[in-house]
Amino acid sequence: MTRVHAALRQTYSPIGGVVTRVQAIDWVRWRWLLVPMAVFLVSRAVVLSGACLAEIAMPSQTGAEYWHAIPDNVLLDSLARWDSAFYLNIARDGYTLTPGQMSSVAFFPVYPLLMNLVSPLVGQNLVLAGVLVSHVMLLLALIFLYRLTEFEFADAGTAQRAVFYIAVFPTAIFFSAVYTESTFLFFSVATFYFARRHMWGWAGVMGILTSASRIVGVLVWVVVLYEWLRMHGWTLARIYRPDAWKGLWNGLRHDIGSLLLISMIPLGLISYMMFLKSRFNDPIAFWTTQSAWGRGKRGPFQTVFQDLNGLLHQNFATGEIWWNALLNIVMLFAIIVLALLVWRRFGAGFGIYTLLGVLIPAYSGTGSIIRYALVLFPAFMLLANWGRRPLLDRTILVVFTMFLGIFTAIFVNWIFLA
Amino acid sequence: MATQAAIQPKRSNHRWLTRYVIPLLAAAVVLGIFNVALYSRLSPSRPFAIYALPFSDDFAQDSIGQWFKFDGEWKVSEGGLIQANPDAQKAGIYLPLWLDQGQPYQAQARLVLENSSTPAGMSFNAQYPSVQQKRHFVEIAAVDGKWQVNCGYTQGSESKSQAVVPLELPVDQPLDARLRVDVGKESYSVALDDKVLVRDVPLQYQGGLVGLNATGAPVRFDDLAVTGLGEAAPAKPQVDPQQAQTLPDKAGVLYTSDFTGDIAASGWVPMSGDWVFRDGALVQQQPNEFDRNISYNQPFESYRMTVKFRINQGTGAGLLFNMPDPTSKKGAHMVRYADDGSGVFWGYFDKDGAFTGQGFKGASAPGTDSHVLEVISGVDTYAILLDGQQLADQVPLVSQRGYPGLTTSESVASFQQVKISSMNSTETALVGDQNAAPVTDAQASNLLANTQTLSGEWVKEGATIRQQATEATDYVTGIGVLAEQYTLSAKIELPKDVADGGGGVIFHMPKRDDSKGAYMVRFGDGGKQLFWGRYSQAGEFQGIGSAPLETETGQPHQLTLVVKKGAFDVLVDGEQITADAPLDANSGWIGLTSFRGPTVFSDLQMTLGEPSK
Repeated sequence: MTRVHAALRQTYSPIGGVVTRVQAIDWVRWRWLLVPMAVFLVSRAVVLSGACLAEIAMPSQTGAEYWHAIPDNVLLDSLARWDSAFYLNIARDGYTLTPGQMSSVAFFPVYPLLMNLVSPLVGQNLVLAGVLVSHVMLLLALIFLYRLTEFEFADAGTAQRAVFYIAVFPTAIFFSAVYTESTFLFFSVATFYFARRHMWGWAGVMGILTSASRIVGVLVWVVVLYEWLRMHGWTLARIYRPDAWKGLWNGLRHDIGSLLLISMIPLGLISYMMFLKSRFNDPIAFWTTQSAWGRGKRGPFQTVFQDLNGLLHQNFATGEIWWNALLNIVMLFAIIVLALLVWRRFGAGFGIYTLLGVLIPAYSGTGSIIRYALVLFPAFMLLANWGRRPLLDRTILVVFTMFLGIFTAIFVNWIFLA
Repeated sequence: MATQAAIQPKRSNHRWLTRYVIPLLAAAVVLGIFNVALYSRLSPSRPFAIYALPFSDDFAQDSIGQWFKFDGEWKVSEGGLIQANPDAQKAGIYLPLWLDQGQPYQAQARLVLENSSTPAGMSFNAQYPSVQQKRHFVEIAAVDGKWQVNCGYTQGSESKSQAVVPLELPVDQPLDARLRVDVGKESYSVALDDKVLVRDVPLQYQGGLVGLNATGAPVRFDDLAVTGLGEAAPAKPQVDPQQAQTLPDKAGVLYTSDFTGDIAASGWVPMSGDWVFRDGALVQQQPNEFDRNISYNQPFESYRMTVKFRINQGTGAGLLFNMPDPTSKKGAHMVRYADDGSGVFWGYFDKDGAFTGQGFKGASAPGTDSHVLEVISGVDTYAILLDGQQLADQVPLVSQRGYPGLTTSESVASFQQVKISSMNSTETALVGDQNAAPVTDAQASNLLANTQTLSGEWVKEGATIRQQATEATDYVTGIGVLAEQYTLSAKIELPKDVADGGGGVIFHMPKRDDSKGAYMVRFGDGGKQLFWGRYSQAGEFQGIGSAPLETETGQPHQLTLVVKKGAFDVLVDGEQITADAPLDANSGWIGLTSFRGPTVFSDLQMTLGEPSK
């Protein structure tokens, strides 16, 4: 009687019907969407609440140069700091170039363009538009990273850890801020994903947008090209073998269309250069203006040497040190080591991308390396693979989340982080 | 087997479609949207190049608009441009005019420089608008008791001299000279008062901006002009009304729009809003903002502006005209549909940008049909027509000349055509002073109601006016009437016992208060002859014809002037002296002239329109 009654209740009551339908869902099948969404919600809840708390509870830098985009909205205001001003200005007034001074041309156009396009939908509130774009792009990036990692390792647990690690990385506040990191991460991961799936056309489309998102974005061209070569049997390790070249020749004969699609990737960068040429008569203004940020042409070795030399003469005991430089140097070396391991695990394409992702910025200075490392997702994929060991997994999560809290508090209180 | 064979090609096609065609189309769409959005939404809000060749400015207006200034305090003072901060060591200013690579051009400016060891001069082929890096320069300074011209270029923060020329001019007096640079494709030359000082100096930088620089020197710049190399003397589109009036081609069209291609190269300068060329129209796309404006970078004076447009969303749209500055609405006139669609209103923006209304007329809501809004801008007044119906006439002008523009307010509007043309006689009557309306005999005294003395001592006595000064020069008074075709007669009594006394009429004056460019017919030699001719732009009279007269000295004579289209006739005491003397102007102000004095003018009569045969 009771069993029959329960069955009837489950069948005919609205709640019971929902429960039945929910139970019927194949959750495993939708894991690629649900896990990134859950990670997104959890990580952003932590980051945003932490940012608000840090803004409210902690003393901040004061002065005319420490502006507040929306003083009457703690949440949005705390996400617009430092370089956010450039993105806001670009989206509102267009690009500017003043040689010798920090100019907005240094910031690539995809993210501010999306802000500009979204702002009419949110009452012309550019900060809100920027934050919305950042979050939507982060969610998409996590989804693609999950799928890419799952594809590489054929392991859902590794994919889950990869998206978790990157979402709680110490500088992950930049994924929520009015910064381009989320946008760049999404387009670059999507490019890699389609390249690894040998969907060259879509890799080309995403690559175009990646190359127009950041100065190092054009690197994905090299990666996708290398993946195409690898598909046809040509790799750096097999360069001396005749069958590698024979495979390449066959690829050129039968798959030249894919190669042409891949060659579209730099068009994003070229479009931006043509824009700069037409508007400022300087197609590489994004590079020439770098000197205004104190970035010279010193090369990574001299840059690192100078920073290390400076650090060695500082007083670690009293804490009077360049903590930014210390973090960046540590991160630089960590990424270099990880990049070599990525190379070994995933191949030259991923390795070169990770390595150049820090070496190119380091060519002119180590500043902000901890932020640049945030989007080097192959390193997170590798960490996720190592994270199969519970002890390491927990260690990574503890370290990352602890520093995420500290860095978030630093960022929102107008102390320069990266 | 047959079924498999039939399916096979379909699979192949499908594979091509998904692997190549669709991604390729997606890439094309992404690139297209990206580039269009990049250029239309992220272009610098401040145009890099507002003006185009030829450019000239004699700094008659108080403002220099949005030039690129760096360091120094630049301002217009007493008809010249000065840098007022003596401590500014890197003071410079650039025109918002970009010269392309390989474009030969000539830049010149008059400069008055006091004895100063700190140089002043011109910059050219400057690569950046806001700093002194990467530019060529020609500078003058007093060095070791001599004026000296130095030309070269800057590289980084260093100045590198390419040539130094000492001048044989005393330094104890201010240097007042016209500095000129002729820039070719690979080299340039420098001239001072048309005397070439240096030739064929290699160019370090190709193309760029032209500007002025004064590193703390007490200097005054004037008559700045940039023209194509080898072109005639620079026109003065901003301030010279004569130039504006003689611009029309044979059809009388001064400008007609072409809303295709790149808006940045079209001469239209967005001031606010989101303006794009679409389907041959100029479209403002921001629907929610007030006063979204765009201007055209060529000024006009005394013209008819015709704008055909359609309002796709909202109701507020119309036109701006006589804008003193193409980058600012300050001082501009505006005519547009009201935001509630109840009619059309007009007025002007004051120097602070606040709008002052001059009138309103109810009209049907614009809907989404095309409308034609027209403004006829005269010398002192303007008239408005909507879809051919006159809304207002003789509305006072606050700004008499300037740049045309378009405006929207909380609307999306599509401007299909903008045309600027010279006025015909009907339109002249619409915008002339009241005196320009047809005048009858009974109203003759009105012709002296608005006189404006330009020189001499003119005294009105009822319907008579007397010029009393006695020097041997032409004295002029305007009568405040602008007209195109008319018959004017006056009784003129020359001074007695003055052998060379004279008096007559001056007409087709481009300005109410300036006889330059005007025609004159007057008695000479105490009435023994009549001559006619024209004043040049320099103010010198150039005779066209003359005729001896047999008149009695000391007696008044009736001088009748018949002004037609392209010609005029003159009669004295009813007898024709000359017929169809050529006229090279369409319309203008009318005045009286007297050589020596006292000369008495009476019985002025005027009839507008072409004389009956």
